[in-house]
Amino acid sequence: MALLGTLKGFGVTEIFQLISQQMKTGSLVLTSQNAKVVIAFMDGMIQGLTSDKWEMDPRADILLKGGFINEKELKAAFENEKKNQAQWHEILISKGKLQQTFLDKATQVVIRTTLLDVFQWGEGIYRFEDWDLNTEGFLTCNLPTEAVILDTLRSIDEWPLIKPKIPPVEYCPVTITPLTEEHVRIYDLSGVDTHIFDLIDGDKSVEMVVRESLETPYDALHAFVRLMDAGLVEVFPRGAKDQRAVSLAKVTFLRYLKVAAVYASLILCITALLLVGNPRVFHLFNAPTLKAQFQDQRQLAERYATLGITPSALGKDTYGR
Amino acid sequence: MLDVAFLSSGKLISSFKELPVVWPLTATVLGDVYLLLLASVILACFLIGICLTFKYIPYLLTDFRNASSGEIPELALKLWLAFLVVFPILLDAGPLWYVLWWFILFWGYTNRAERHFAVVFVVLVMLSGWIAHVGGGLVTITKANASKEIFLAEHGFESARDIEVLSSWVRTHAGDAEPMNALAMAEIKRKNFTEAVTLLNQTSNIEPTNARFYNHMGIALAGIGKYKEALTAFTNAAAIDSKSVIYLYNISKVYLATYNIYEAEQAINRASAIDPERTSALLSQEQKDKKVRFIMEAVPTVKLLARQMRPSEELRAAADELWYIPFGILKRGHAVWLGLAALILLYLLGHVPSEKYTKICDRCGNSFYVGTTSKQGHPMCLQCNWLDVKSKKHVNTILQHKLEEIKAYRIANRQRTSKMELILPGLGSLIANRTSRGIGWLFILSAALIMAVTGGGFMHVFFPTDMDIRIYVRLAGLAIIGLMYWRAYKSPPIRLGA
Repeated sequence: MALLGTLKGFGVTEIFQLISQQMKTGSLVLTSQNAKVVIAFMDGMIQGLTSDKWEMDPRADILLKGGFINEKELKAAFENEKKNQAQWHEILISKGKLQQTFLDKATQVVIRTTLLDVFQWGEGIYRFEDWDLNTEGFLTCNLPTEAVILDTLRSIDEWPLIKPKIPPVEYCPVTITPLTEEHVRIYDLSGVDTHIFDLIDGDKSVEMVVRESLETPYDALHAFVRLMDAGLVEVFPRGAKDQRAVSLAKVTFLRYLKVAAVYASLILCITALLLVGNPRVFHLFNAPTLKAQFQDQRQLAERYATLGITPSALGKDTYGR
Repeated sequence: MLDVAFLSSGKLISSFKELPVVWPLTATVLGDVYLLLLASVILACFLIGICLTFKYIPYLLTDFRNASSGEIPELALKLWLAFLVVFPILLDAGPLWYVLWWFILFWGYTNRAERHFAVVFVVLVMLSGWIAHVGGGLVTITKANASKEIFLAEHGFESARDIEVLSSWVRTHAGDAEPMNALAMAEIKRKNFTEAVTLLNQTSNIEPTNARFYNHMGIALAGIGKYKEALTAFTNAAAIDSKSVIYLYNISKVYLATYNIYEAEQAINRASAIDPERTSALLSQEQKDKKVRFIMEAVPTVKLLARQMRPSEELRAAADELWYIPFGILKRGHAVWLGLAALILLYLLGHVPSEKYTKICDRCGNSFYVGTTSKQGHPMCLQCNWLDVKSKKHVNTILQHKLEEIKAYRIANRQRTSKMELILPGLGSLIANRTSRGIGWLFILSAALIMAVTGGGFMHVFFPTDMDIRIYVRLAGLAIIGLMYWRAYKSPPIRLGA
């Protein structure tokens, strides 16, 4: 055992950094109240991870929910695992039921989502075992640790901005206008943003689009927020999708109303303040008392000067008796 | 022939003729310096407020955009933002109200040093009522508390009007001894010794430990030939202030008047033992003028300055105006409550989660919402914070990319802040989070601007003097401004490689 401690004293970032800098090979076991995650490192690079929360391969669930495989084929593949001496995904790929690209993307989603979660653990314990690496049962990958750290930190930094704007996942997103290169340039849209936009067909819910995208929930929801902020996409309750035209008209009306309210409230505030605020710019403040004081000093000085009293004449300090 | 001379209680100076201008000149110089400082602080705070507004308006606009989720047009957002920033213009607000409002508006965005400055500013707001009071006292030199009349009467330049003012003051302020003393001194000079004695009896009752009053009483009594009583009065004065040679000198003159040469010499010897230089100067002056005289004492300058600060109607009106110019809306007496309310508000604002505000990383220029702060209290994103704490030895391609991003931002930020520093020295420093330098520069610039524009001559010495240094003050102000721009050019807020 090379390293052991609590996450309160030594954060996940620091542990990852240490392993990366020392180019260590071994397993990092992170345990919190809710889960236990084991991350495999080789020469400081992340080679894979596993979690005790996974009852089956989490990629299967992602691919299933994303519609990339169907339940029947998946079940058959699981059943044939022992018989074929191959894993479920290998069986599906060999049968042409699954593309390797989708599997890789699902792997990325699982790994990045798990790491994002782990990086936000405030409490727990860690244990790094630097003996022979055994990645059996792990989701394998080959990720530079520092890139993962930087990506995750960026996500944590931006999350408070995205979180309050995330639409209800059961809502249906609708594209308002076709996406052009101009839009991509003006709103600085990324590949993920355009991918999400392309998946919106008016029928799928936000949740469905996220699953189909095979992006991490963070990236997909971030893209949604960006598209909605740019006015390229709007979301409606599922029940209202049939009355989309009405909903759109209502939304447009409400938007105009909101804009009108914004301008009206501004004018109202300015008018009210002008009426009751007694703005200084209208009565340019003068200081009569101060002016009078300064004027009095000047007049006195002039008077004494005309009387011929100057500092050099201030010697009349005696009297005869 | 027995004469009376005037001497301040200060150090003996070469010419008696220089003495009477001490208080008007000192008070006026103090007043000018004080008003110059006040004007500089007000201008500096206003400029700092403008700079911080310029710095944080984009942040606020970003948060407006984020909050509106694209539902409100950009124009409406900008109009609301402009309204929020300058809304005190719609009130009877002075420049410091704007500053206070801007600190409240941008509190969530400010860095540690800016927050410290804001707290100092709010404390100044709390004290502003008293600060204005002192200013009012200095400004009302000729009008309030009969100080001017006391000075004129003591030095023999009083007019009938001044005597009238003093007499009226004495009638209405029975517990105020100095005007009575001044009136008594004027009476002594008019040889109305009996009236002087009456007045000085009152002063001694009010302030029984004031040696000057006993001294003048002695002179008045000597004037009516009551040498024995005069001697007692001078002896009382010498007992109260045993370090003064004036009273011993006057004792010697009483003895001389009664032809008691030996006692007179003894008194002079005692005076010489205390302060030989001064005693010798008094005797030399006596020989030079070929006159035997008593020495009267004017009110010490410090006492007259303290007298200026006594509450009066004139002072109150001037202080109210001095407060009203930078603040307004409220009355001067509410300054403490205003400051307290602002402190409480800032305290409450400090509890708003920092992730609600857009922040720009001081290192890489990326906006972030969680992040942290550097050791200097500057906002820093988690990536840069991590880079900061990690070992610098292990830089790979990924980190190199981030380091390049930081370097590019640093170069761009340097160019931007250097230009701003040349527009307004201090602005670039504040934008670059070099807060102490920025605030310092803006204070110096404000003082220099005020010096150049006003020459430091707010008040006038009511007693004419040959001294007018306004042109030098203006030139000094211009020189400082020139030096600041030269320094801003030579030393930009951000140094590459630093």
